[in-house]
Amino acid sequence: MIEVSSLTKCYGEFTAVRDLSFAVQAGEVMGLVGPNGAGKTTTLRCCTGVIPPTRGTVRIAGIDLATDPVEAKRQLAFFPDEPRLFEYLTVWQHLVFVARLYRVTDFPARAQTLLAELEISDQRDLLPGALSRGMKQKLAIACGLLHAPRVIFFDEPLTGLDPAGIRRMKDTMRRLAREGSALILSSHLLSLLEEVCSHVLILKQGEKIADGSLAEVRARYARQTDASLEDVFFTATGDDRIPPVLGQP
Amino acid sequence: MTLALVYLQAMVIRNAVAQRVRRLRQPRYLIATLLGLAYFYFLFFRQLSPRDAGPGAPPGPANIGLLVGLSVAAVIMTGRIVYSWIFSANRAALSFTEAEVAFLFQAPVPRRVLVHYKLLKSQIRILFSALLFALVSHRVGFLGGNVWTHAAGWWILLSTLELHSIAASFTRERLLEVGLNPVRRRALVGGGLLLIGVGLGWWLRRTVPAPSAANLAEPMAIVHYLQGVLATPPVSWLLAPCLWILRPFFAPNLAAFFRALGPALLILAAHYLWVIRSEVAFEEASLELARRRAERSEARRAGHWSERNRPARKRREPFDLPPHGLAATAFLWRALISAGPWFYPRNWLFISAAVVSTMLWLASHPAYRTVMVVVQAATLPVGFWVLIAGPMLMRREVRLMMQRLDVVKTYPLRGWQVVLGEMLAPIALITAIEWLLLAVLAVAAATLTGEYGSTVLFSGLGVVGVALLVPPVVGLMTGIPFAATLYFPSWMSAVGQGGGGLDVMGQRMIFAGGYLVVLAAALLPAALVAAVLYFIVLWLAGSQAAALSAGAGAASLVLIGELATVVWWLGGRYEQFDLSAELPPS
Repeated sequence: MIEVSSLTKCYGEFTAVRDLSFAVQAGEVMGLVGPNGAGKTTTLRCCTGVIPPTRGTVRIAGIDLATDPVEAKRQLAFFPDEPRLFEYLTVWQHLVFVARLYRVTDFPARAQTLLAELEISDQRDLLPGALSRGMKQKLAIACGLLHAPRVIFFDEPLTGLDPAGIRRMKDTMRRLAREGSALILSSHLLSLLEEVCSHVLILKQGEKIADGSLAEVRARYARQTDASLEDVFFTATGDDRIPPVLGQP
Repeated sequence: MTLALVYLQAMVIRNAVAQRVRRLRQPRYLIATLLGLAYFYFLFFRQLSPRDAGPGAPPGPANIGLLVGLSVAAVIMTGRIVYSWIFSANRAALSFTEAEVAFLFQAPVPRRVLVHYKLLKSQIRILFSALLFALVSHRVGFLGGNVWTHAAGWWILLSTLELHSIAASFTRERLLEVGLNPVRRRALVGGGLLLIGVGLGWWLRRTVPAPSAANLAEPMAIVHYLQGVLATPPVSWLLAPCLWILRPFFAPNLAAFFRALGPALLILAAHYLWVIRSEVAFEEASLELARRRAERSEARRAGHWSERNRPARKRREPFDLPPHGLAATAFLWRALISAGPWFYPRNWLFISAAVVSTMLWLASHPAYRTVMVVVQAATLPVGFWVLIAGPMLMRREVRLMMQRLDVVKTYPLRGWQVVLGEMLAPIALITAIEWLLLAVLAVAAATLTGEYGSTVLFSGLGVVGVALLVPPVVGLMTGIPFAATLYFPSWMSAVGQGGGGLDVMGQRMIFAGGYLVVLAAALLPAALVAAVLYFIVLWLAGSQAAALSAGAGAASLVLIGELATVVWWLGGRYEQFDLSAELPPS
């Protein structure tokens, strides 16, 4: 579904991502983790066609993103950490707009089903300004899922959500994977990744540190069999000293 | 404590200046700054010749302009102060940023130190404004003094107004605390002022003779009469405080300036004491003010210049948007909803029909011939202004697009589709306005020439010809800010955010110059082709109407071709556009 090969992204003399290769298959959820500045967002942007890679290839559902970007983008959806909505369009008008861009033939039926599933049918005539953060996130998801993407990218999907919103978001991601989509999920919340992801890719300073199923990565880096992803992360990134408690010497 | 706040302000200024200086390493900022400096030099500083530092305008009755200016300014200032006491509802709020509120309000900083910090901060703005205003005002012929007396005069005036505004808000807050709500306060102040007004009127009727025919014979006589009224006590007593504050600015020479300085500084000092000694809690209102300011800034960054522009309820669609068809239409559909129902096709047709019908009705009544003259004279400059200023709308659209580029770039669209989509709405809106103006102009011109019959074909063809040219010309002009954003994104961002500084001013000048050059270059091929075809058809067919039609049609085709090329070229640039330079790597 997603095949990334030798992806490199340079900003002048600075290399943000170096020779990164990985693959995510249908039904898999891959967690993209790493410390700040590891290259997660750059990787996501390159994989979604937002920025061109300096070197390497990205294939979405078998289509090369560089040679056929339109068809490749038709297969993907990207959810940034902050929902980007149009202030003057209602919930339903957002879906009308997206349906035209993606040429969704069975638009009204699909849109109504999505709104019902996401429990925002009652808000279809409201403007984003009248929606809560969680509702805006749901609208962004409805827009992203309208064209039935096969590859889905999430960047910090839980930002600003309340506990109920967090639970719904996790359920949505699990359901999408069950339905056969390939998901990449970038987050600092290791507990979220542990709950939702089947695979994990750890980056540090633009390079791949670890890649594989959770069990594989745990087996490679964990000192104990029941080690958490947090322990694995600190061991893998070589930053396993216990951070000092704030305010104490 | 005070030192910490001085340090804070000093560091803020130093870092802001350092950031601007560092930017000068980039040639585009350096060039823009040099251009901005040159603009300032030629507009202001070159005028600072030695004569400006001299004694200034001669005093005495000959300089009536000074006296009138001083009196008018004093009346306006008094009126402004009275108005603020009656109508202003501002609470005791000092303007702090959200960061200042977060750091200072919870810190053990005494209230008086906070007030001083606020005053110190406002002084930086006031000093800069005073200098800038002085550079302009010292060139006004009838005002005396030099640039430095003007700067000092402006400083005293602006500082006093600032202090008065704060002190008045503190006093209003205090009155609120003792139970005098705004309605009662307005009634009390308004009632008091009414009494004073009635008393003054009664007094003036007894002491000042009514204006005679000679007093009203010519403008100067009226001025002299009013001067006499304003100089009569007790009117002069009422205006005295404002006059004292204004006199340094209106001083014709250095001697008069120093004589006027003492009373003005005394009033300034009294205001300072008033502010400092007012024991009023301003924290809550300041917090609210900081929040509102942050919201306004955020709205401006998002391209909304007024909070009131935010829609309160759903806007219906301008037209049906089926899932099939040109993707660019979806952008137009979305932008029209954003623009509001005035520009929906059906509504605009209705408005246009109403305007043209009114024009035709006016044209059928000779009594309204003057209206036609005014309309004809006004339509051309308005149309030209819309043509030049309208495409600037594109800057806002492109800025909004850049803000959500990480989503827009995931749309399954070619670059040219996105570019065309973003350009369609400005083209449609400006074209609609221009076509309406053309229709109005055609009716007015036909009415004034009085020849509907013989020239209707010629005029009609002329109007249609120009109407055909409008959309591609607007499209080309709309493409300029789009191209500037894609090629100089950080530059356009700075211009669009309305920031200050010499480099931003220089950038605006370069942008305006480039705008005209590109427009001329785009129009030249179309004009050449049109001229050639016009003369060929005129020679072959002998009909000016046919030649005009052929010329306009050919020019329109050339411009459409140019527009298509521009859209294709910008589309390619959009596809290659790398956000890396704008977004920090992570």
